[in-house]
Amino acid sequence: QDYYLADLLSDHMGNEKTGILFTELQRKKKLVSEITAYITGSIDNGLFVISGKINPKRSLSELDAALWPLLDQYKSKKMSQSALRELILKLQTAKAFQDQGLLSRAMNLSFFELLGSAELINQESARFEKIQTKDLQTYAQQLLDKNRCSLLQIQAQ
Amino acid sequence: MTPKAIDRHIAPALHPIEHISFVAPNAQLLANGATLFCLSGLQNDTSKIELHFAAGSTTSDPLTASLCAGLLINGSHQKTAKQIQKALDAVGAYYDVSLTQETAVVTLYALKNQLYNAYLIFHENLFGAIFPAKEVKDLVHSRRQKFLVQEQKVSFIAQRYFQRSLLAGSAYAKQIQLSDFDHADRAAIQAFHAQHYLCGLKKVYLVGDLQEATIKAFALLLEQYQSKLPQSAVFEWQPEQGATHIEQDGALQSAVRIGRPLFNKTHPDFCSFSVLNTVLGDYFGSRLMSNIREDKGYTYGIGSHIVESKQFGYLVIGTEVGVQTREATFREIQYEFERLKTQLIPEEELNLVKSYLMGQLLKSADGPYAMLDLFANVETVGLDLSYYDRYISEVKAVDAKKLRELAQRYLIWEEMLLISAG
Repeated sequence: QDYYLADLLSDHMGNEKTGILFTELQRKKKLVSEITAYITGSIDNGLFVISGKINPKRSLSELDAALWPLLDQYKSKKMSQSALRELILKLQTAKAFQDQGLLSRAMNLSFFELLGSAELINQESARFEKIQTKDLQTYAQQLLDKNRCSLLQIQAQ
Repeated sequence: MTPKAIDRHIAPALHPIEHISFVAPNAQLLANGATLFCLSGLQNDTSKIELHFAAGSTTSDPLTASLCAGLLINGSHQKTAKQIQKALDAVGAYYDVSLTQETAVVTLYALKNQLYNAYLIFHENLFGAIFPAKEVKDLVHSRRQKFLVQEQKVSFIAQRYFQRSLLAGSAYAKQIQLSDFDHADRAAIQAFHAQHYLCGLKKVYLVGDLQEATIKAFALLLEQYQSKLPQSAVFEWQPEQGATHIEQDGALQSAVRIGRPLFNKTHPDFCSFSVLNTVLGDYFGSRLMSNIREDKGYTYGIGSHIVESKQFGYLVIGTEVGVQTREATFREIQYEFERLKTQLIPEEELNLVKSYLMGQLLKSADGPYAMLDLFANVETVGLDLSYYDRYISEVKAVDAKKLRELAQRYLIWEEMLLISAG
C-alpha cells in the first residue's frame, strides 16, 4: 500500500508544471534549472528520489535550506480533498493509457504473479480510491525524514 | 466459469506471423479543409485528440518554432499558465507537444468522458494565448542552459554537423545556434502562433469510444481554425560527401556519423533495403554490433538507421568510440560494407532478421493507439495501410542475391559523408 502513497506523493510534488518543487524552487527562487521527483518501482522496497540540476552561482546549501521546508508542508498539513481527488484521477488516467498494449498488460500480470498473485492487478484501482488525505500525511511524516535520506551531489570541477 | 488449468512449465507454441489485421480510422473533411480522422471501438475508457499544425522547425526560424511549441498554453489575458494547467489536472488530462521539422503535433490525453472538457480548456487558451514575457524569458533561460550543456557533447556536435552537411542547400540544414537565444523575440513568437497554429491546422486524429454528438461538437470547435497551408515546394538539396573531423580538446570519446542520401517508404526498394539495413546495423546481433562492439570492444553501441521525412530519406550509421579507436572503427565499418557487397548473407541469419522484423511490426501494432500511429506514418507520405501488407510480403520474399545487389548500389564508401567529433 505504501507504494501507492509514494506514487501519489512523488507525482504531486514533482509534477513538471504545477508541482511544488517546480513552482517554488525553479520558477520562484530560480535555484534549479530542472527538478523532479519519482519512485523506482520494483520488487524490493525501492527508492523515492528527488533529483535536479542546480543553477550556476547557486549552492547546494541554499537548495537544502529551501527544499526541506517544502517537504515539511506535506508532513504538517493534510492535502485538500479536491487536490487528492485530482491526483488520483490523473494517475488512473495514466494507468489506463499504459494498459493499451497487450504487452504492457501481459508484463503487469507477470509482475503481480511474481509479487504473489496475478489477481492483484484487478485491485490496483480500488487501492488508489481508498487513499485518504491523512494516509498521505502519515506516510510523508515517515518518509521525508532528513536522517533517513541519502544525498548525492555531483559537482563539475 | 472455471478457466482451464494451464501448465505454466510449458511455454506457449510459436507461430510465424502471417498477417496483421490493421484498423483504419474514418476520415471526414472539415469546413476549413483540414481532415478529421476518427478511430473508435477501443472497448476502454481512454481517448485522445491529436492536432497536427504546419508549425515545424523549418517553417520559420527553428528557435521561434521551438519556443512557440513550448509556450502554447502558458497564459492568456484571463488565466496564468499555472491556472490553465490546474484546470487540465482537474479533468485528469495530460498534454504534450512534439516538434518535427515539418509539423508541430499537440496531443491531449484524457478519459473519454472528460476529453471534450479538456480540449475546450486547451482550445480557449490556445486561441487566447499571449505568450507572457516572463514565461518567454524563463523558457529561453532554461533552454539556453540545456543547449550549453549539450554543445559540449561530441555526439551532439557530430550529429548536427552531419545533418547540416547532408541536408545542405535545403531548409532542413538550418539549426539553432547559441547566439539565437539572445535574440529570442516575443513578437515573433506571437506572429508565428497566429499564422502557423491558428491558421495552420493540417489534420486531427480523434481516438476513443465517443458519442456522435461529441464528435460533432469537436468538429465545430476544430472548424474555428483555418487551414492555410503553404504550397509544398519541390524539395532540393546538395548533400555533401567526404570526411570532416572536428577536434574537441580533452574528449575521451569520438562520435562518428556516416551516411548518404537514400529514400523513404514511397520508394520501391525501401522494404528490401530495410532488411539489408537491419542485417548491417539495426538489431543487437547486427554485423556492426557483432564486429565493433562484441568482437573489438570499441563501443557500447553502434547502429544504422534509415531516417525518413516527407520528401526524402537518408541512411546514417552512428556510434561513439574511444578516441584512439576512431580510425579503426572507420576501417571496420568499411569492411562490413565490403562483406555485404561480396558475400551472400547466410540463410540462417537472413531468416533470423526477417523474424525479428515481423516481431517488431507486430509490437508496433499493439493496441489502438499504436495502430493509429502506423496509419499516421503512411498517411503523411500519401500511402495507406496496404503498405504494411506489402511490407510483410516483400520482407518475407527478399533473397540474399537481391540484398547483395542493393548493397552494391548503395553501400559505396566513396559516396558517404563521414563526420567525426572528439
